[in-house]
Amino acid sequence: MATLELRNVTKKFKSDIVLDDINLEIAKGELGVLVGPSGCGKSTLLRMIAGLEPITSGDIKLNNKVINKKEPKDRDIAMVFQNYALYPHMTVFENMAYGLRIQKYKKAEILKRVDKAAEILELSSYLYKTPGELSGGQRQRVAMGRAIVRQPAVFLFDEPLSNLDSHLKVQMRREIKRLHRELGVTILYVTHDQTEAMTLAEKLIVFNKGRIEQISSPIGIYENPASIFVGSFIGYPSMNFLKGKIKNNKFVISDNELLDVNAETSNSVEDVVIGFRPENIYLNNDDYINENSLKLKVDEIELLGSDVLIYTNVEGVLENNKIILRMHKLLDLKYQDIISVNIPKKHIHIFDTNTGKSI
Amino acid sequence: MKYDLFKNFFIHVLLILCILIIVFPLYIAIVASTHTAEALLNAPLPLLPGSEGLNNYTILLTKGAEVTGGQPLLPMLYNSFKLAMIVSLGKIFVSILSAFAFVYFKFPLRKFFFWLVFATLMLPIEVRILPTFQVVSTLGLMNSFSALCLPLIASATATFLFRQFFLTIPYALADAARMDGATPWRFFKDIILPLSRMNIVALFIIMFIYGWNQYLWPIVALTDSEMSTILIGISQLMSVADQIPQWNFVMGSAILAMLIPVVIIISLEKWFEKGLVR
Repeated sequence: MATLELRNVTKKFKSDIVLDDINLEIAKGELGVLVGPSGCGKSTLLRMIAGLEPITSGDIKLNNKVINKKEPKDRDIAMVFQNYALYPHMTVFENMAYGLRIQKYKKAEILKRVDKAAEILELSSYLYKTPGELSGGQRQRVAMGRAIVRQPAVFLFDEPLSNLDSHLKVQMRREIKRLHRELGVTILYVTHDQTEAMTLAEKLIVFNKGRIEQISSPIGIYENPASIFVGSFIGYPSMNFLKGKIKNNKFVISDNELLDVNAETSNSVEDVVIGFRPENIYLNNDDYINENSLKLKVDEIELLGSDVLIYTNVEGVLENNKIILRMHKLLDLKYQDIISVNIPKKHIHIFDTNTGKSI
Repeated sequence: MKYDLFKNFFIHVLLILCILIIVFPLYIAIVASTHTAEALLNAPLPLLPGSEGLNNYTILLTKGAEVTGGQPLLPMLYNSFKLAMIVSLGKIFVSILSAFAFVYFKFPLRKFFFWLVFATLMLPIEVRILPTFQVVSTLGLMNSFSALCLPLIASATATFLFRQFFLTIPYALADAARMDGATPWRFFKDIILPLSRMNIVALFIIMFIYGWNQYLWPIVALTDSEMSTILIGISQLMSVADQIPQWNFVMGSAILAMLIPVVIIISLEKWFEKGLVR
């Protein structure tokens, strides 16, 4: 049974459709991550679930009850905001207790809950400081504490780590994962950072232009992107794309038969885009030539430490010919060198040029 | 080191000069208020305090100078204080609530009303004094304390300043408070009010002095001398018919009129500075 369920949720601002027919389920105890570029409507969706923004049509259900019209406080949902939104004049304790105090909980109960949350978040020694005296990571933890003390059915996180530096980001990411594991809570998490999304998610929801592009496990999305957008948005460096045609199971760019592909639908599909990940390109040995080979001209080499990125152009193709390779060891390559690589058929994804969808 | 010494010296000379320019007239006023009227009319003007100080102030506060019909200043000081207090607190009360409405509530014609308020910023009291007079007299309030205070209480400046301050408070705080279950009133009381306390103090000081310095409107609105304010008192002392003004009393009343605003500013100074900086 889904704890949180969205059915045909649509949002319009005047005549602009911001969110178009969203259907989504988050199971009890699941960590769902909504990922998409900025301005794609993901934060609006979160605010609608929280009750801060009215919905135009559709239903939001929590434990099978429609909560569309309920006030935010009656929804049994807590939210962690991007800028923490801590009350600057209150201490950490007061910040966490404020909601409970308004709901008229008993003093002893408030104390118990705040103490427990502070202990989980390692904030016990900061309870009587104000947010101004805390570091970014600590403030973030207070914001989470404020959500935890309410013991809600669902936690909403709105880009909670985007204001932290990259080191702290990784640390807090693990902290959120730990919290999720220890408390077993249901979380819907919004981010524009695909690394954050991949590492955190149990269920990954890729969002673009107010629509859901794909829902799957992170690895499912990585290995089988449903559209060009998903392929390019998830994974860094991004998936390589080549524009061409398919004739008799071969991928063709202007009469150059380049690669064998598994075109299941028909033998001759016009206008396709093929995509393959930078790490799924293998160098050919000099001794023998693998099938499905491609000749590439080296343009630029970037050393990342553990990996090497090689920027290349496909030989004999003039436009849309850029390909990035990811290798694990530094090769003896120079600018303008020609290399021969192969791309296994199973790693090549085929997309429709017009719809962008996977074929 | 040498350079610093020279710079310090130069800065100090400049500062002392500035202070002298500001303080000298004040000093003359204080000195003048401690002499007899005759002493001030003869050259040279005394530059050192005289012996009539206590006597002058006692007369001013309790009986009033005879030439003006013997109006004591103490009730006038009280009236001015009452006026300034009611006007400044009233302004803060009205404007903080209207700014709260402008920033945190959506209602029809919100923009229009805001610009309406904003437009009145550009109209000084002098411009709208006739219509105000008309309204107040139609309401039958003339020559009452309400007539004195009410028209001064509405404040576009304060509304505008509070609105600007509220806009600097992250809107997410309002969202967070809603998630916490706070009603708009609780949000105002628990979050907006404590956060604006510095601005409130700063505005209070500015508005108190504004209220204290009101001259034109009290003259227009009041005919009853019992309600007249200290500024009216000073002007009465200065413009006596067929008489040479008694400068010792004029200066003395000016010093008295200055005293209360100075006390207010000094006692709230710390808050005031923070309020302006933040």
